Amino acid sequence: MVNSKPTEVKAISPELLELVSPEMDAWLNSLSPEVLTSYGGQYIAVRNKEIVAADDSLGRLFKKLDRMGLTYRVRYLYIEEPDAWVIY
Amino acid sequence: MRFTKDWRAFALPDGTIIRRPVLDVLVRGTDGLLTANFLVDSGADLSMAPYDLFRKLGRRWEDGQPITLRGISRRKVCAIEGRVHPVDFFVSEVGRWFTIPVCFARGRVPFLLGQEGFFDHFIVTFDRVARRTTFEFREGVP
Repeated sequence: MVNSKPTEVKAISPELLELVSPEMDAWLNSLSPEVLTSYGGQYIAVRNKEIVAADDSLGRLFKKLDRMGLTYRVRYLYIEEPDAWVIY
Repeated sequence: MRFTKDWRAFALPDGTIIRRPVLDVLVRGTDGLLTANFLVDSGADLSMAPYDLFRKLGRRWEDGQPITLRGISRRKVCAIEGRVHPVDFFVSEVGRWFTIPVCFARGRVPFLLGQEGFFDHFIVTFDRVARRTTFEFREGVP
């Protein structure tokens, strides 16, 4: 379908790599059930171990972050609604 | 080259935590790289992502391969149109870019990392007991 031969890359900014680092993973996994429930059904943007914006529309979240100048400087996640089982 | 990712925590209605296998990658957008958080879904033929992410890639919707998506309901009114586009993914743990076909669609579409273009390059092992996924990069696969 697509020629997907991988290519090696040397230079990705440390700021971006921090967003997908194991430390960030650990922080996200430490969020309490209350926090996760409060953002259920929303896309969230995370930076410096802080949720900087959230919206139930990814398009609206991008617009918010465009205004904040953070679109390319956050980690995006979708928090599944807690009342739904995932069966993808 | 291999790496392991702990499963991501999500809440259930009773306040307990459920964990699911995910992988965060960087995606090439028009003005920079975007992070994207994908559920690793070995049962999905294709990867999938919302149309709103597509809009950040600077592509023409019409250039993608049309595809019809159906969910649990088989009713025709519940089918939606998607378009498959090649997307550049950067997997930081192996320091490489991969071009992967992704089906984009409007609506509440999940971020799924499916087989085509990704599982060709990684041996993926799910350990439900330990709640972690191991990705073993297969060097040299075209």
